Amino acid sequence: MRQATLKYLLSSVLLLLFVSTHAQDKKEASDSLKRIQKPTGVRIGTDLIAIGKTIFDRPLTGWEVNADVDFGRYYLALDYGSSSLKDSLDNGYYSNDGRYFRAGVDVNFLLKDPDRNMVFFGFRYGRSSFNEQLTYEFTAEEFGPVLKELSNPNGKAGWGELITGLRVKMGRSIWMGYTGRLKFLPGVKGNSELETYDIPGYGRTSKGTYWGFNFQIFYRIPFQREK
Amino acid sequence: MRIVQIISLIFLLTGCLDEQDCIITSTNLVKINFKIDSKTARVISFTKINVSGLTKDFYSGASVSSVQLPVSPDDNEATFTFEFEGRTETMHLTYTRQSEVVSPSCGAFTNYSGLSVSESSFELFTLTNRQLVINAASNLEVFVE
Repeated sequence: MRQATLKYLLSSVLLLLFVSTHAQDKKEASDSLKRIQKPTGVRIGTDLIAIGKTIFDRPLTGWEVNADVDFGRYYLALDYGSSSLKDSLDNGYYSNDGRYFRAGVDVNFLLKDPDRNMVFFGFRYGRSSFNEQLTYEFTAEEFGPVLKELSNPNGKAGWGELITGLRVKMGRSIWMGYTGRLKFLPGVKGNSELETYDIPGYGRTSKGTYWGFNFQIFYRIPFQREK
Repeated sequence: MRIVQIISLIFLLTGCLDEQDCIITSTNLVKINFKIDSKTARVISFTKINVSGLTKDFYSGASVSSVQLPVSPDDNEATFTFEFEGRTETMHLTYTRQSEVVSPSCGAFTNYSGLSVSESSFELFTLTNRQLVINAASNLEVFVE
């Protein structure tokens, strides 16, 4: 999965370099698009990778809905999702289930594109509410075998994200694209006896920075009839 | 556009830093070193040491300057009773436990930290390491004349 993510990101970087050079050559008047403008439509989409994982019964299952509204080159973005992890451990079993949302802004670097394609960079703030359970066995010196059953029914977490990605128009009102996420600074509140292992929407808590990757499809609903 | 290029490179480089290792150093053993002063070890001939929650006696008839005593994985406090040289001394410890999952292949473990001495009949002691780990030089230094 990580190799695939790196491959997509590498292609993203190459594309960004190309777009950057191309944009500098053109230098055409695009000041009007750099201003915040009245929104023209909302794009609503979903993450196909999350659906694929759920169908093929991976330990991590869930779904995610994404939406963005354009304000010129700036997009107000909101994501809402659900995630559930069921993982067998070497000495036990861990599971969690939760909901999360992310809110933030994307900046489109493809100015004046008539198809509203995007090469974007942005940030998100994420929040998650979840429950988690851990059961495991171990042997304590002199006390012998110990079975631990712990739960965290009211876990809450927050984090930040830097994101980059693409949106490409595939047909009338349909866009596809991907988003790479660099997630950081996870903060967790919950049961102090169980250190949260996985935050729905974030991933492994032990990692100060963590990767996320979405392959998304969007449908755009214009606020006014477009020519 | 330069900022996008820089951020994209950060994305790529950070991907190389998420390897997980499987080394677990946590233990439920408290290591206590006995000393005359900060540089000199004190060898003590124990009659026995008793640990709360266990019926077994530890270090019966042993002459040592360092002991490792277990604390309960189901409790947050422990009492050690030391019988030696015609004396009986007690030490009451508190600690916190936290269960952590390393990875599916490494499993989960209990981490013991926040060690402190809530009561002690020993007059002089120093808390040297509040975390219970396998290779700790000591968790407590107790000064005995």
